[in-house]
Amino acid sequence: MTALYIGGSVGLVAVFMLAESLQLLRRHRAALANRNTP
Amino acid sequence: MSSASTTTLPGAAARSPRWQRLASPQAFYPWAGRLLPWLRAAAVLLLAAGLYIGFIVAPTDAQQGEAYRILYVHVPAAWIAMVSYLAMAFWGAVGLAWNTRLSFMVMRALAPTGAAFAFLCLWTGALWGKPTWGTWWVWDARLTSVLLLLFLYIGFLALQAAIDDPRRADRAGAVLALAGVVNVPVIYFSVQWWNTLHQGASITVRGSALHNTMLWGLLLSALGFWTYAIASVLARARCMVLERERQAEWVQRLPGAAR
Repeated sequence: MTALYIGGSVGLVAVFMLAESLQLLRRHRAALANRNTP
Repeated sequence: MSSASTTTLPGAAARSPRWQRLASPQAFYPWAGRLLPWLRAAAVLLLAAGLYIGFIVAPTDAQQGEAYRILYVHVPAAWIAMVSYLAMAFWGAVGLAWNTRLSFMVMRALAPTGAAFAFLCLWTGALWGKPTWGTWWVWDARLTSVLLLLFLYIGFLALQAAIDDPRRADRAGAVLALAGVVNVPVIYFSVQWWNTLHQGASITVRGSALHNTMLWGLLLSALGFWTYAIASVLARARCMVLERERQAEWVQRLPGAAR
Protein backbone atom coordinates (compact mmCIF):
# COMPACT_ATOMS: atom_id res chain seq x y z
CA MET A 1 0.00 0.00 0.00
CA THR A 2 2.86 2.36 0.88
CA ALA A 3 4.46 1.69 -2.50
CA LEU A 4 1.16 2.53 -4.19
CA TYR A 5 0.83 5.81 -2.27
CA ILE A 6 4.41 6.86 -2.94
CA GLY A 7 4.45 5.73 -6.58
CA GLY A 8 1.08 7.38 -7.21
CA SER A 9 2.22 10.61 -5.58
CA VAL A 10 5.43 10.74 -7.61
CA GLY A 11 3.39 10.10 -10.77
CA LEU A 12 0.96 12.90 -9.86
CA VAL A 13 3.86 15.25 -9.17
CA ALA A 14 5.36 14.47 -12.58
CA VAL A 15 2.01 15.10 -14.30
CA PHE A 16 1.59 18.38 -12.38
CA MET A 17 5.10 19.57 -13.32
CA LEU A 18 4.53 18.77 -16.98
CA ALA A 19 1.10 20.44 -16.99
CA GLU A 20 2.44 23.57 -15.27
CA SER A 21 5.30 23.85 -17.77
CA LEU A 22 2.88 23.53 -20.71
CA GLN A 23 0.51 26.07 -19.16
CA LEU A 24 3.37 28.57 -18.80
CA LEU A 25 4.38 28.01 -22.42
CA ARG A 26 0.78 28.65 -23.52
CA ARG A 27 0.59 31.78 -21.34
CA HIS A 28 3.83 33.05 -22.87
CA ARG A 29 2.52 32.50 -26.41
CA ALA A 30 -0.74 34.28 -25.52
CA ALA A 31 1.20 37.21 -23.97
CA LEU A 32 3.24 37.54 -27.15
CA ALA A 33 0.13 37.44 -29.28
CA ASN A 34 -1.65 40.08 -27.17
CA ARG A 35 1.15 42.67 -27.23
CA ASN A 36 -0.90 45.28 -29.08
CA THR A 37 -3.98 44.94 -26.91
CA PRO A 38 -4.51 48.17 -24.91
CA MET B 1 10.41 31.03 -27.61
CA SER B 2 11.53 34.51 -28.52
CA SER B 3 15.17 35.43 -28.81
CA ALA B 4 17.27 38.15 -27.23
CA SER B 5 18.94 39.34 -30.37
CA THR B 6 16.56 42.21 -31.03
CA THR B 7 16.90 43.81 -27.59
CA THR B 8 19.77 46.12 -26.70
CA LEU B 9 20.14 48.44 -23.78
CA PRO B 10 20.73 52.09 -24.48
CA GLY B 11 22.97 54.54 -22.65
CA ALA B 12 23.70 54.30 -18.96
CA ALA B 13 21.91 50.97 -18.53
CA ALA B 14 24.35 49.30 -20.91
CA ARG B 15 27.34 50.60 -18.92
CA SER B 16 26.09 49.51 -15.48
CA PRO B 17 27.22 46.19 -13.95
CA ARG B 18 25.60 43.06 -15.35
CA TRP B 19 23.60 42.23 -12.19
CA GLN B 20 22.19 45.76 -12.13
CA ARG B 21 21.24 45.57 -15.79
CA LEU B 22 19.25 42.41 -15.03
CA ALA B 23 16.98 44.50 -12.78
CA SER B 24 15.51 45.90 -16.00
CA PRO B 25 12.65 43.78 -17.42
CA GLN B 26 14.10 44.40 -20.88
CA ALA B 27 17.40 42.75 -19.92
CA PHE B 28 15.84 40.08 -17.71
CA TYR B 29 13.46 38.77 -20.38
CA PRO B 30 16.05 37.52 -22.92
CA TRP B 31 18.49 36.44 -20.19
CA ALA B 32 15.82 34.23 -18.56
CA GLY B 33 14.76 32.96 -21.98
CA ARG B 34 18.30 31.75 -22.71
CA LEU B 35 18.52 30.04 -19.32
CA LEU B 36 15.17 28.21 -19.46
CA PRO B 37 15.97 25.32 -21.85
CA TRP B 38 19.12 24.48 -19.84
CA LEU B 39 17.25 24.56 -16.54
CA ARG B 40 14.46 22.35 -17.90
CA ALA B 41 16.92 19.82 -19.32
CA ALA B 42 18.91 19.81 -16.05
CA ALA B 43 15.70 19.31 -14.05
CA VAL B 44 14.72 16.25 -16.10
CA LEU B 45 18.18 14.67 -15.86
CA LEU B 46 18.73 15.43 -12.16
CA LEU B 47 15.25 14.27 -11.17
CA ALA B 48 15.62 11.06 -13.19
CA ALA B 49 19.01 10.34 -11.57
CA GLY B 50 17.93 11.34 -8.05
CA LEU B 51 14.67 9.42 -8.07
CA TYR B 52 16.34 6.36 -9.67
CA ILE B 53 18.95 6.29 -6.90
CA GLY B 54 16.32 7.01 -4.25
CA PHE B 55 13.71 4.48 -5.34
CA ILE B 56 15.81 1.73 -6.90
CA VAL B 57 19.43 1.88 -5.73
CA ALA B 58 19.26 3.17 -2.13
CA PRO B 59 18.96 0.51 0.59
CA THR B 60 15.81 -0.08 2.63
CA ASP B 61 15.76 1.78 5.96
CA ALA B 62 16.34 -0.46 8.98
CA GLN B 63 13.53 1.13 11.03
CA GLN B 64 11.05 2.58 8.53
CA GLY B 65 11.31 0.01 5.74
CA GLU B 66 10.32 1.30 2.28
CA ALA B 67 8.13 4.14 3.59
CA TYR B 68 11.16 6.38 4.12
CA ARG B 69 11.58 6.69 0.33
CA ILE B 70 9.01 9.49 0.26
CA LEU B 71 11.91 11.54 1.67
CA TYR B 72 13.22 12.05 -1.89
CA VAL B 73 10.16 14.18 -2.63
CA HIS B 74 9.18 15.43 0.84
CA VAL B 75 12.49 17.00 1.90
CA PRO B 76 13.18 18.92 -1.36
CA ALA B 77 9.55 20.14 -1.32
CA ALA B 78 9.99 21.45 2.25
CA TRP B 79 13.27 23.20 1.39
CA ILE B 80 11.79 24.83 -1.72
CA ALA B 81 8.59 25.92 0.07
CA MET B 82 10.60 27.65 2.82
CA VAL B 83 13.30 29.22 0.66
CA SER B 84 10.74 30.42 -1.92
CA TYR B 85 8.94 32.31 0.84
CA LEU B 86 12.22 33.89 1.99
CA ALA B 87 12.95 34.86 -1.62
CA MET B 88 9.43 36.27 -2.00
CA ALA B 89 9.90 38.45 1.09
CA PHE B 90 13.37 39.51 -0.11
CA TRP B 91 12.13 40.64 -3.53
CA GLY B 92 9.14 42.29 -1.89
CA ALA B 93 11.49 44.28 0.36
CA VAL B 94 13.69 45.22 -2.61
CA GLY B 95 10.59 46.34 -4.51
CA LEU B 96 9.32 48.43 -1.59
CA ALA B 97 12.75 49.99 -1.01
CA TRP B 98 13.70 50.81 -4.62
CA ASN B 99 10.34 50.57 -6.38
CA THR B 100 11.78 48.21 -8.99
CA ARG B 101 9.13 46.65 -11.23
CA LEU B 102 10.98 43.40 -11.84
CA SER B 103 11.40 42.70 -8.10
CA PHE B 104 7.64 42.69 -7.65
CA MET B 105 7.16 40.50 -10.71
CA VAL B 106 9.65 37.94 -9.38
CA MET B 107 7.95 38.10 -5.96
CA ARG B 108 4.60 37.32 -7.57
CA ALA B 109 6.10 34.62 -9.79
CA LEU B 110 7.49 32.81 -6.74
CA ALA B 111 4.12 32.45 -4.96
CA PRO B 112 2.40 29.72 -7.05
CA THR B 113 5.56 27.59 -7.09
CA GLY B 114 6.08 28.03 -3.35
CA ALA B 115 2.43 27.19 -2.67
CA ALA B 116 2.62 24.05 -4.82
CA PHE B 117 5.71 22.82 -2.98
CA ALA B 118 4.22 23.66 0.44
CA PHE B 119 1.17 21.58 -0.50
CA LEU B 120 3.42 18.78 -1.80
CA CYS B 121 5.40 18.87 1.45
CA LEU B 122 2.22 18.45 3.54
CA TRP B 123 0.82 15.78 1.22
CA THR B 124 3.97 13.64 1.22
CA GLY B 125 4.37 14.27 4.94
CA ALA B 126 0.95 12.73 5.53
CA LEU B 127 1.92 9.74 3.37
CA TRP B 128 5.06 9.33 5.48
CA GLY B 129 3.27 9.91 8.78
CA LYS B 130 0.67 7.16 8.35
CA PRO B 131 3.10 4.17 8.18
CA THR B 132 5.65 5.60 10.65
CA TRP B 133 3.56 7.51 13.23
CA GLY B 134 0.26 5.72 12.66
CA THR B 135 -1.56 8.92 11.69
CA TRP B 136 -1.92 11.12 8.61
CA TRP B 137 -1.83 14.33 10.61
CA VAL B 138 -0.99 15.63 14.05
CA TRP B 139 -1.17 19.22 15.30
CA ASP B 140 2.46 19.47 16.29
CA ALA B 141 4.65 22.55 15.83
CA ARG B 142 6.41 21.53 12.58
CA LEU B 143 3.28 20.40 10.74
CA THR B 144 1.18 23.31 11.95
CA SER B 145 3.79 25.92 11.00
CA VAL B 146 4.10 24.40 7.49
CA LEU B 147 0.31 24.49 7.18
CA LEU B 148 0.49 28.16 8.16
CA LEU B 149 3.09 28.64 5.41
CA LEU B 150 0.65 27.19 2.87
CA PHE B 151 -2.08 29.54 4.17
CA LEU B 152 0.32 32.49 3.83
CA TYR B 153 0.96 31.55 0.20
CA ILE B 154 -2.77 31.18 -0.45
CA GLY B 155 -3.43 34.50 1.29
CA PHE B 156 -0.77 36.18 -0.84
CA LEU B 157 -2.28 34.79 -4.06
CA ALA B 158 -5.81 35.78 -2.97
CA LEU B 159 -4.64 39.30 -2.13
CA GLN B 160 -3.01 39.67 -5.56
CA ALA B 161 -6.20 38.48 -7.24
CA ALA B 162 -8.40 40.79 -5.16
CA ILE B 163 -6.65 44.08 -6.05
CA ASP B 164 -7.14 45.34 -9.61
CA ASP B 165 -4.32 47.90 -9.67
CA PRO B 166 -1.11 45.87 -10.12
CA ARG B 167 1.12 48.43 -8.37
CA ARG B 168 -1.10 48.50 -5.28
CA ALA B 169 -1.33 44.70 -5.36
CA ASP B 170 2.48 44.54 -5.52
CA ARG B 171 2.94 46.71 -2.47
CA ALA B 172 0.22 44.96 -0.45
CA GLY B 173 1.70 41.57 -1.38
CA ALA B 174 5.19 42.69 -0.35
CA VAL B 175 3.91 43.79 3.07
CA LEU B 176 2.14 40.45 3.56
CA ALA B 177 5.25 38.53 2.45
CA LEU B 178 7.42 40.49 4.90
CA ALA B 179 4.95 40.05 7.76
CA GLY B 180 4.76 36.29 7.20
CA VAL B 181 8.49 35.71 6.88
CA VAL B 182 8.80 35.27 10.65
CA ASN B 183 7.09 31.89 10.16
CA VAL B 184 10.08 30.45 8.24
CA PRO B 185 12.56 30.32 11.17
CA VAL B 186 9.68 29.03 13.31
CA ILE B 187 9.29 26.11 10.87
CA TYR B 188 13.02 25.41 10.81
CA PHE B 189 13.60 25.56 14.58
CA SER B 190 10.23 24.11 15.63
CA VAL B 191 11.72 20.63 16.13
CA GLN B 192 14.26 22.10 18.55
CA TRP B 193 12.03 24.59 20.36
CA TRP B 194 9.12 22.24 20.98
CA ASN B 195 8.62 18.58 21.69
CA THR B 196 7.34 17.27 18.34
CA LEU B 197 6.68 13.98 16.61
CA HIS B 198 8.63 15.23 13.61
CA GLN B 199 12.27 14.18 13.53
CA GLY B 200 15.11 16.71 13.60
CA ALA B 201 17.28 17.60 10.59
CA SER B 202 19.26 14.66 9.17
CA ILE B 203 21.53 16.94 7.15
CA THR B 204 23.30 19.86 8.82
CA VAL B 205 26.45 21.88 8.13
CA ARG B 206 28.31 19.48 10.44
CA GLY B 207 27.43 16.39 8.41
CA SER B 208 24.72 13.93 7.49
CA ALA B 209 23.07 11.05 9.35
CA LEU B 210 22.11 9.43 6.03
CA HIS B 211 23.73 6.48 4.26
CA ASN B 212 25.90 7.78 1.37
CA THR B 213 23.62 6.38 -1.37
CA MET B 214 20.54 7.87 0.30
CA LEU B 215 22.34 11.20 0.61
CA TRP B 216 23.29 11.26 -3.08
CA GLY B 217 19.75 10.38 -4.10
CA LEU B 218 18.40 13.16 -1.91
CA LEU B 219 20.90 15.77 -3.11
CA LEU B 220 20.30 14.95 -6.78
CA SER B 221 16.51 14.96 -6.47
CA ALA B 222 16.69 18.21 -4.47
CA LEU B 223 18.81 19.79 -7.21
CA GLY B 224 16.31 18.50 -9.79
CA PHE B 225 13.31 19.97 -7.96
CA TRP B 226 15.24 23.21 -7.46
CA THR B 227 16.08 23.60 -11.13
CA TYR B 228 12.44 22.88 -12.00
CA ALA B 229 11.24 25.47 -9.44
CA ILE B 230 13.67 28.12 -10.72
CA ALA B 231 12.64 27.40 -14.32
CA SER B 232 8.96 27.77 -13.39
CA VAL B 233 9.54 31.06 -11.59
CA LEU B 234 11.61 32.48 -14.46
CA ALA B 235 9.03 31.37 -17.05
CA ARG B 236 6.18 32.91 -15.02
CA ALA B 237 8.13 36.13 -14.49
CA ARG B 238 8.77 36.36 -18.26
CA CYS B 239 5.03 36.06 -18.90
CA MET B 240 4.38 38.85 -16.37
CA VAL B 241 7.00 41.06 -18.05
CA LEU B 242 5.23 40.62 -21.39
CA GLU B 243 1.77 41.13 -19.90
CA ARG B 244 2.71 44.27 -17.99
CA GLU B 245 5.00 45.87 -20.57
CA ARG B 246 3.02 44.93 -23.67
CA GLN B 247 2.90 48.57 -24.80
CA ALA B 248 6.69 49.04 -24.48
CA GLU B 249 8.62 49.47 -27.70
CA TRP B 250 11.09 46.68 -26.95
CA VAL B 251 8.17 44.25 -26.43
CA GLN B 252 6.61 45.34 -29.72
CA ARG B 253 9.90 44.58 -31.49
CA LEU B 254 10.15 41.03 -30.12
CA PRO B 255 9.75 38.28 -32.69
CA GLY B 256 7.13 35.67 -31.86
CA ALA B 257 3.52 34.71 -32.31
CA ALA B 258 1.33 36.54 -34.82
CA ARG B 259 -0.04 39.86 -33.56
